[in-house]
Amino acid sequence: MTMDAIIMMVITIVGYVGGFVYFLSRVFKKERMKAKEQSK
Amino acid sequence: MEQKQEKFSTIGYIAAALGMCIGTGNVWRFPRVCAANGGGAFILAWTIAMLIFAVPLLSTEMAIGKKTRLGCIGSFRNVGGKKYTWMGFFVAAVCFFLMSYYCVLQGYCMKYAVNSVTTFKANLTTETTSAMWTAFTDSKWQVILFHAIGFAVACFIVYQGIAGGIERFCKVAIPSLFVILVGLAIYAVTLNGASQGLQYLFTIKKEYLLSPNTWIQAFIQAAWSTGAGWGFIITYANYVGKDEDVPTSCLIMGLGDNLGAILSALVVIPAICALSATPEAANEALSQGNFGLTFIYIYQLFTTIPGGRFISFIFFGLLAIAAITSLFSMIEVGVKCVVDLGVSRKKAVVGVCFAGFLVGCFSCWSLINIDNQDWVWGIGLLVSGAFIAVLAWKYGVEKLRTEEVNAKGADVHLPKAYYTACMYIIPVLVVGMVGYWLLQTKEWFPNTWLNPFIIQDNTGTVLLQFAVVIVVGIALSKFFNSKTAKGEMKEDEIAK
Repeated sequence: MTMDAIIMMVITIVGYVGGFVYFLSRVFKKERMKAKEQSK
Repeated sequence: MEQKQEKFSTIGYIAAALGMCIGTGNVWRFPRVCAANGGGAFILAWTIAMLIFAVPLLSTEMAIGKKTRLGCIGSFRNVGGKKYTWMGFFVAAVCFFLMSYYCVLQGYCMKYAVNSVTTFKANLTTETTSAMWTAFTDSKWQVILFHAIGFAVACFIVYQGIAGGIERFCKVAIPSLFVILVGLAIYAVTLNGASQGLQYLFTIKKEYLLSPNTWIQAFIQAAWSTGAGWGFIITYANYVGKDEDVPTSCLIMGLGDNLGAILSALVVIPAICALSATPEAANEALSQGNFGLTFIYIYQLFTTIPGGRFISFIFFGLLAIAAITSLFSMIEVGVKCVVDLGVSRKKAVVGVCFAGFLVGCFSCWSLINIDNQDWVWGIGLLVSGAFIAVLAWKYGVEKLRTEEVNAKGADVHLPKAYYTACMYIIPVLVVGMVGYWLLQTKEWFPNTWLNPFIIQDNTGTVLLQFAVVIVVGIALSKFFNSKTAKGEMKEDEIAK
């Protein structure tokens, strides 16, 4: 594989996985906080 | 009669929405189209398409559904006014016809998952797998049987309700889908010769990046794959809490859908490059249509590798799961419109599924029929997207953005310039995409491209079937205007 293709592959995978996990973790965090507030 | 509505939990909603987005289009369409349009260049264009087309349109749909708490027909009536009801009918009808043939596709996947266990043989040639595919699709009773099983399973799950059926299933199925895709991708990229496929997939070729065709295909893929503008999210948003975060949910849908497609490409393209005898054979496999690639070439490749029976079962099982979670949303679009008329949910589920099964039998009859339905309603979905953008104009793009999209509960806010520009660009893009497809038929069928009375992927059949749906929609407008429930919009906000 050429260096160009490797860089594109890394950017694509890291970008998509990172973006997806980032927004999903925000939702989980918010849900946990909501659950904590409700249990108080 | 107003009925008490069930609710999704936040995580359940995201799982169901991802289930809606991730379908067979990610697994068999994306790798093929991506490979045919320059790999890396296509990925770049398609990522931009996701941000310009899918995310704003999904946000609009979710905001409208959350606001009205009605299905497509009622939402168009309340947000656009009574003259817009036919557009809502068009969106719902397109989903219904899509559902009826999509279940046939799901049946194909189930059949091949079953075949992988029961009649799997090693070292088959493409001639043999091609003959097997033809024998299956020619055997109408078998296709109808798997179509019926598909509808029965989907009907059973949707019948259990929003939380007890769709949410419960998707919360297990969607993470499993990602785990299987990651496992298969790791397996595929570690095969000897897979690096050729990766090189093909991730090289940005300038000539493709500058080609209008790459961009048109990227927007079409973004529209078809995410399900943006199809009315699914209008419907699902009926069942979310008042403080649900619209932009974050829609970004997750867009990113999750594209991630599913990238993972599928990491399975299909390296595997085909590694397992094909010659580069020409790999190119031949990738140049086949969706069905040819999946049911003839990929199946044949599985027969040539150790553990192929198990991998084949996992792959086709994954396709069937991806298809059924998308099928739920299609069924739910019809169900919600019927429930809005005062029919009980359970009766509506059985009625919609049975009607979908009967209409789907047309697509079971031959590959030409299913191809025709895929062609017509695939274009119908793009038109539905434009109708939703028009609905946003009617309501007021800025009002919708500030009051409904970036509403209370939103952590991420869509900027004014971005959202407004996208809402005006989307209908122009749809006109471009639909025009592109319809004009292509002139080259494919120079003598019959406008003939609506032959079953062919031409312009005439699209215009005829659209005209029938629009005329029926206009004729039934009065009925839907008076019989559809009022929803939750305040009286003074409902468009006249």
